[in-house]
Amino acid sequence: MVLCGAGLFMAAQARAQQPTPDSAHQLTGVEVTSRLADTSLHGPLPVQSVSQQQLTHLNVPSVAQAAQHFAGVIVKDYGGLGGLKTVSVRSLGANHTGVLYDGIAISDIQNGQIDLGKYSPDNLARLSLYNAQPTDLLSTARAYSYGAALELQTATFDTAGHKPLQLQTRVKGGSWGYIDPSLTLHYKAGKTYTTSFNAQYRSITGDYPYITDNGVATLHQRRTNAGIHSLRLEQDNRFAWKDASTLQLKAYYYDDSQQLPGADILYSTPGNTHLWNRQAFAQAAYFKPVGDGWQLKLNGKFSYIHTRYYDPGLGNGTGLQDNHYNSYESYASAVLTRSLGRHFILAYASDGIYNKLNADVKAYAFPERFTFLNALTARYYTPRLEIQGNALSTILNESVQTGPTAQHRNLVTPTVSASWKPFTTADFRLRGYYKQIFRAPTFDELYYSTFGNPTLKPEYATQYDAGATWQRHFSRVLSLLRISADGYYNTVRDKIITLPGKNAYSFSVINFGKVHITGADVNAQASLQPLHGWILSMAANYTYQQVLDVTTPGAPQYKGQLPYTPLHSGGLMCSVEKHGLVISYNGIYSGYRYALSDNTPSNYMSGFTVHDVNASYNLGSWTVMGAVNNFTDERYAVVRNFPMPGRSYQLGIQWKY
Amino acid sequence: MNKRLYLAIAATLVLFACSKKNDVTPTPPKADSATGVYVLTEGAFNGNNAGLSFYDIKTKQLSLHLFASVNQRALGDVANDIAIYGSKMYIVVNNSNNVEIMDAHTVKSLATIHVDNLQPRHIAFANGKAYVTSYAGKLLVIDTATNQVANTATIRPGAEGIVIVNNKVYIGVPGVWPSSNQTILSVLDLNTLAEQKTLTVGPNPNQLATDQYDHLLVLCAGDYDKVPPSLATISLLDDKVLQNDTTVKADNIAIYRNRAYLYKSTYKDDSKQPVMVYNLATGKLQDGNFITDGTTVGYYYGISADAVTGDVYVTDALSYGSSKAKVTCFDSNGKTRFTIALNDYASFASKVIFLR
Repeated sequence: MVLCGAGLFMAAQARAQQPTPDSAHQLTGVEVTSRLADTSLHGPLPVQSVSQQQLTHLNVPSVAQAAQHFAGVIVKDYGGLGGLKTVSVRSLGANHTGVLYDGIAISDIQNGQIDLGKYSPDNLARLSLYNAQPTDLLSTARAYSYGAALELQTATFDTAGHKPLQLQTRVKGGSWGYIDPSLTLHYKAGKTYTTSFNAQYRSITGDYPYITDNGVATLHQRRTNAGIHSLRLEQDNRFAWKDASTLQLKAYYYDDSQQLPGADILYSTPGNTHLWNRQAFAQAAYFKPVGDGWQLKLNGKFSYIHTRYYDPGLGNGTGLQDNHYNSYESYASAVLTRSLGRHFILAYASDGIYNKLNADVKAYAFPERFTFLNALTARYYTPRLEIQGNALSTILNESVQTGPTAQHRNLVTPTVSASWKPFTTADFRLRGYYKQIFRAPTFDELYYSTFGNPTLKPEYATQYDAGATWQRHFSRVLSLLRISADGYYNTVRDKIITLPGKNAYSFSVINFGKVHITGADVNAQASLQPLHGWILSMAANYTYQQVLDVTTPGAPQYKGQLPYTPLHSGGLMCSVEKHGLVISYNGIYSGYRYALSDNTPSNYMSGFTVHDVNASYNLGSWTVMGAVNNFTDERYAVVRNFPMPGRSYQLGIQWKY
Repeated sequence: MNKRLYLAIAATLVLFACSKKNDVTPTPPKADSATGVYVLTEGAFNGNNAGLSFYDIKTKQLSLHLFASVNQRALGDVANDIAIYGSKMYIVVNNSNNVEIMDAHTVKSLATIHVDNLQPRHIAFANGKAYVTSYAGKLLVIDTATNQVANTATIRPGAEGIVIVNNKVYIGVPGVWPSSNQTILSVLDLNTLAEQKTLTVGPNPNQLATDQYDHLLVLCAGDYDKVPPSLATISLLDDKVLQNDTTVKADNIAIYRNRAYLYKSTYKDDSKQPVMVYNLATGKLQDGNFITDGTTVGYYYGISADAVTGDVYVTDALSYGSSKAKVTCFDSNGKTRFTIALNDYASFASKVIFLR
């Protein structure tokens, strides 16, 4: 892509509205194909992406597992298909990870940690992780309000096809009652309008076997209460007019019923808690170039999330909990950009968010929150140097129906980033950024029953990053090699933590934690065509993270590595293609960790490596696939006493029209 | 067993027969006071890391992680209570739903009583039987001769502390979330195990203790919102609530003669929190700061008094995220006699009991 000034912008915009094609790089007279996501390494902020094709090769059930292949990411996984999976980027904590769905944020005002196990890659054209924030100046102010943002981009009509109707249906099934049918439909009705529909149902009993070691005894057990059924429906309407203005209208519905697999408690049978989730949202995004050098983007969203938590307790009604939570969000955003000459762009984004949470919990506060976000961004750009700076103002206003309410907050946080190309010839760039951001306490932390703490302050994170990127197209054989490496230092202060009290039901939430994070993210990607008709793609990532608890000097865990944070972790994706046959290998490595910040032998958890392999064969409109996940049958747990599944098998068939 | 039982009863009688002076005159420790102390470490919820250690007072030897090394298996998840009765020791493992019965000297497991889904909490003894409260509203009666469940009585759900005295069973009933914050002290007839009456104390009564003045002392946690914690005093002569003192806010209590030792934890940094001394004869706080040698505690999680020597053992869990713990033994003047450092396998060290 040729980049120059505002043109970059327009081009980027136009591309953002379209599916991301496989990057086709023109070398002298030779066309090469790559399965890697077309990730620009030229921006001042680190971006990692996987393409639709790579997602297919990964063959993971959820976005959380796909995100494990990004450097700097730690996924907390409670096991199985239905277990909670949260994503923390560069150890800032899951609450600092924003999730954008087609550019508009998904939020969970209740507990702030979005369960990415609930989002399927089935309908995605691309999954990207932005450290700090997206670099697109048409981003909403809210996209700037996170420590990192994960963007899910939905698939749309494939412009390479000639038929106005594109239909794809597939079904996958496998171990432990796994069944997963899906249907995707794209229809291009005329020059300006395309519509898309996607439906996916997933179900699993999840009763996988696992082994518990208890001293000299080895217990062979099966996971219980681990099933989930879910249904997701998505409908998109996209308009693209002659003047380059676009409109996307999206409706999303998700419904599930899941058992909550508890910890593997010695000598005891696990509980039977159950969770129902229902999420529906409708969103609109309108983009229009207005006159000379001006661009406008308007976004709006209504969202509703219903959660029912059911714990049968100890029988005869003792300890029975059956609570319903309904949260509502209304969201509006306007972004205006203005090009000033060839090297300078200004952007102003203004967002308003209204959140409300109702619950039938005893003495509930019924909180409401108004958030106003305003961001002013400036970008200076030449082919060799780019500097971007932005200031984000956040105003939080809260009200409750009963009890004390959180303070109004009015904060301004800066971000500065730069990218520089020192040599004219080699595509080598240095980049760096500084960002200060905070996360507001969630409604649970502030108001939950009598344990919430309305006096909580925001939790601040400061990030410093310096890195380098290099990429080169060598030859027909090694068509692309990309390497990026970043070192970073983050601090988190006033970390909101939940302290256990005298029993499982009395705890308190306070601003208490202080964490220092020193780390490095390395990514390497290569695309090869060693022989005619063969395509090889490889993407490897490595993460080093030293994450120290520096809350209380003298405490046992002072300068201890934070729980569940390996010093070393990494991943590898490889795929080989030849005439419709694709074989993919995906591996995840996590070094040793501790289950508590007190890094003693009793808290030591050994590292693990999980290897998955899958193959698919395409016969015209039919494709068959098979997979063996965790084929070495590695026994491991991400969270102590939450065993993960061993070897499993999968078969699938797909029909495309 | 029988001999030990007589000894235990005799020791109790000696305690009750103690002279009722206004304060303690520290007695020098007798060589035979206690051979050592068991330290119970509750473990983290869902951690399966409850533990038991033993400290030999004479040899200063610490045996960490003793239950696991003797029995080649883990104790389980959240050990809530421990007691020695006769020649046996009993540990109530709340979240594993077990009552572990072992030899008090060797820690060798003799029996495991599993009560699925009952969530057992506290244990008390009378007439050769062990009585275990549970959240599920069942009172387990274990025959200590056969190590079998002899009987299960229905009580109020959400039962915590238990004391058996004068042929009556007193149980603090805070209730189970979400029906917690109850103010009920349930009184049962020991023979029928039927509830005779209830007494009203502060919200969330959990720890119970008796003193030499025929008092039952009940620590109430308050409702974590408007009602503060309190110490309720009940006369065991007529089951009347003598007072419910909200000026005494405490999480735990240890009694020696006319003194009750109390502390209130902040659950994050207790270095400024004192051990208070409450005069049981006058019913008033006597000393706001028992520790006189400048020792600070990071995270109060348990307190016990040696009934023979009057030494006070304070359990420091160090921090909410720690696997280490420290137990400090103070003499009755609040000066450190010795400390026990548990350097691992000691998350939430919570209770100290004496092996005699």
